[in-house]
Amino acid sequence: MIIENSGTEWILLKLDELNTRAELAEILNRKGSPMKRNEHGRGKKSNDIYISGVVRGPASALTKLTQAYLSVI
Amino acid sequence: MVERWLSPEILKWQTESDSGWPVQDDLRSRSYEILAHAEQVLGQPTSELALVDVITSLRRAIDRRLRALNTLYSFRDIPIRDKPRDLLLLLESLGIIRSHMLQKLIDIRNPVEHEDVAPPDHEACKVFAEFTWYFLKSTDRMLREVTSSFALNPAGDDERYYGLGIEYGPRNNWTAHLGVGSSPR
Repeated sequence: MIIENSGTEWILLKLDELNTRAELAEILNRKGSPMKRNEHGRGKKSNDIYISGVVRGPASALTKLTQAYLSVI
Repeated sequence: MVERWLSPEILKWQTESDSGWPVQDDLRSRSYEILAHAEQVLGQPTSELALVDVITSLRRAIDRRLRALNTLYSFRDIPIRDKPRDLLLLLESLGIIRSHMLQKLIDIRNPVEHEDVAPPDHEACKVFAEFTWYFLKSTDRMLREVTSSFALNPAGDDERYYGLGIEYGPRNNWTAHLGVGSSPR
């Protein structure tokens, strides 16, 4: 689901966070706030990857994200 | 800055509203007050001048609603290429309104207001009043709460995937910020 090189119509993310679940748990523990994100998520393997970032394209993805946004209103 | 590419498959996942912020009631209610005035005039024996008042009031009720929507959502900032410049066509392209009747009301109102042309008859004005009511009702929801994030969730039991959270909407200038977890294959 996540790749390091572009694929046709794949969604480009500029990342501000990239951690394994284990790394994220450690970071949050160090901050004194144990992991709460995805506690009830689907998989909980320690090497699961967590990323977050800004969607930069392609245009088709931004159009579909906008349609998804409007569909939940 | 690190880049990653995410499968477009997620765009087919189920959508669910996550969070939003409430909107002041008066942004919604003012258009109804103007519509109520038009309906009150229509409920009495009407003269041609009264029907002019009805048509201009209905146009004003709709215009007020369009402005409220555009003020809250800043539709022109949505990052879609080749958007229509005209607000009505833009809203129609986004699936928020159907513009045909609106355009018809505008086309009637302008010569009535500016060129002293006779207004439509009482029955036609009632149809426009009813249309205005439907238009307001259909857009009320967008003026109750402005969504600021939503979730995309995969169907089925494939545990390689987590749901995604997406912060998106006018509050962050239509910049989509996405968070996701994924298990390696």
